[in-house]
Amino acid sequence: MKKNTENSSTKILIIDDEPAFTRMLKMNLDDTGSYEIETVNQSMIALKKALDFEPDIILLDVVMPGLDGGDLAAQIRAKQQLKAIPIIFISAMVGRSEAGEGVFMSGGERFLAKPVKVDILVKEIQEILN
Amino acid sequence: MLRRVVDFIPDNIFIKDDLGRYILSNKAHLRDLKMETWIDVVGKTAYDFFSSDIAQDYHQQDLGILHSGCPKLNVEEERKDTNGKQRWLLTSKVPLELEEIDFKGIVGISRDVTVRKNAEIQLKETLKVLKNTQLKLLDAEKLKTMGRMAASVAHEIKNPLAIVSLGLEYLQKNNKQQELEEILTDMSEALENANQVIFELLEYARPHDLEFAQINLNEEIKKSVHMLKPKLQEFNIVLTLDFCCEPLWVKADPLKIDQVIINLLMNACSAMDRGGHLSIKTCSERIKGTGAKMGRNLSEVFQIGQRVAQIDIEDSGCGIPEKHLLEVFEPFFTSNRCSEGTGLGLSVVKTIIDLHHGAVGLSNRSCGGVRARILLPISQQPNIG
Repeated sequence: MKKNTENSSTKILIIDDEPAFTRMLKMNLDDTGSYEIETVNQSMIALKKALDFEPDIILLDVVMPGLDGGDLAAQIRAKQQLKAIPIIFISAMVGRSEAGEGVFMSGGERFLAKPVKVDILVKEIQEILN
Repeated sequence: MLRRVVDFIPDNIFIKDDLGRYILSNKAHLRDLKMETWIDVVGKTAYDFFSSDIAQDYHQQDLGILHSGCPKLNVEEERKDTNGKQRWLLTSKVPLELEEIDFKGIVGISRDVTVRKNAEIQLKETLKVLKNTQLKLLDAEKLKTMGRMAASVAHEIKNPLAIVSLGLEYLQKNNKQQELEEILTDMSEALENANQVIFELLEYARPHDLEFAQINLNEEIKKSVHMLKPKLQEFNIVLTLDFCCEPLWVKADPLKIDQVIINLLMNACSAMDRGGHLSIKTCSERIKGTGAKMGRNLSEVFQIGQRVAQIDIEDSGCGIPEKHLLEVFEPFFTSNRCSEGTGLGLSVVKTIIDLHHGAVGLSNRSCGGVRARILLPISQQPNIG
């Protein structure tokens, strides 16, 4: 996966029903100066946001009221223009024993456990982009 | 004639004098003593037919009755018969005094209840097994619930932790004073949420410490509403109170009832974040049916015709899908209607109402919104003064 253009910053869409979490994560990622961040707290409108924003990576919460992360990921992948976008699932349901300090793979998907360490997330994003 | 009647009776009938000698013994009694005719028995004592310990026991009993003049009625006793078989006897003995012939003794009648007694013992054993099985099932159910709760607790607590952790990480890397306040606010709110989850979890696990008192529900609800007034104003919610004109006396823990009312009102407020109408009605009703919408069969909790206090809390927010009307009482169930909160509020409500031998249920109103209904058994008005 490559960035949209060489000169623009990487676009990241954070989808999580907890506004304080998306705000904090956005502040931390903004702070690196490498990303353009959009956040969305209602999973029902997240698909439209993804179509409008055209992110390079999606960070997606698993447990959300209404439409959960798994169903939303299926909807995202069903769209031609979105299906190649890598998704990192960020879940509070994953323990440190499963995830350790970094990303772990399950069923071919990338998972990161909450609480998220910014350095680990940035490293993972860079690996995906390269 | 009387002798034939006595012989015809299947129970053992006997008369003994004040020295414990048999004076009369009917056919059933003779069979038990393994004797042919009453002549084989007359003049003999229990020591001639039973082991010395049993005979002594009989003798002591008889002396007690003779001295006190009080009968011993329907005494169940386990004894070995003359064949050495274990038997249960139901025996009554009464003192008999015939002055005209200068006789003093006792009359006894004894029935073999071994079959009934064995059935009772077996029934008790079966009940014990059933109770054990029921306890095991309850334990299994508890474990299942605990497992579900553990996963949910992990989710509910780790989310606030994630926020705090990110906030701290940001603060460590930056020192921008102007942004500090917003971050600290978010962090303290997240911590407060985590605290709230743990608090309600404890309430859920330990709600059985109840302190019952006679309370007037109308007054108790007024107190809870008063506490929530600032919240109602913040949410732009118009409140209507329609209380039963008579006091509604119930035997309940006032603090727990406050908690129930506050949880239901908070739940209603969350469904009306853009304002709306909230109404609380109370009345005294009689149970008419099984109450399909009350989450459980009302006949299991109340008797048909029983008087109950009814509280209806109605909101004008979005409804709840019918399939979720019962699930909302499960711990950590989340719905679109109420994505805020700990997910324990309604399960705490249900547990408290169950412990008060009442019922609680949610239903969608035909005009929109949800009605939460609580039924509690009405008690007597307390004596004042």
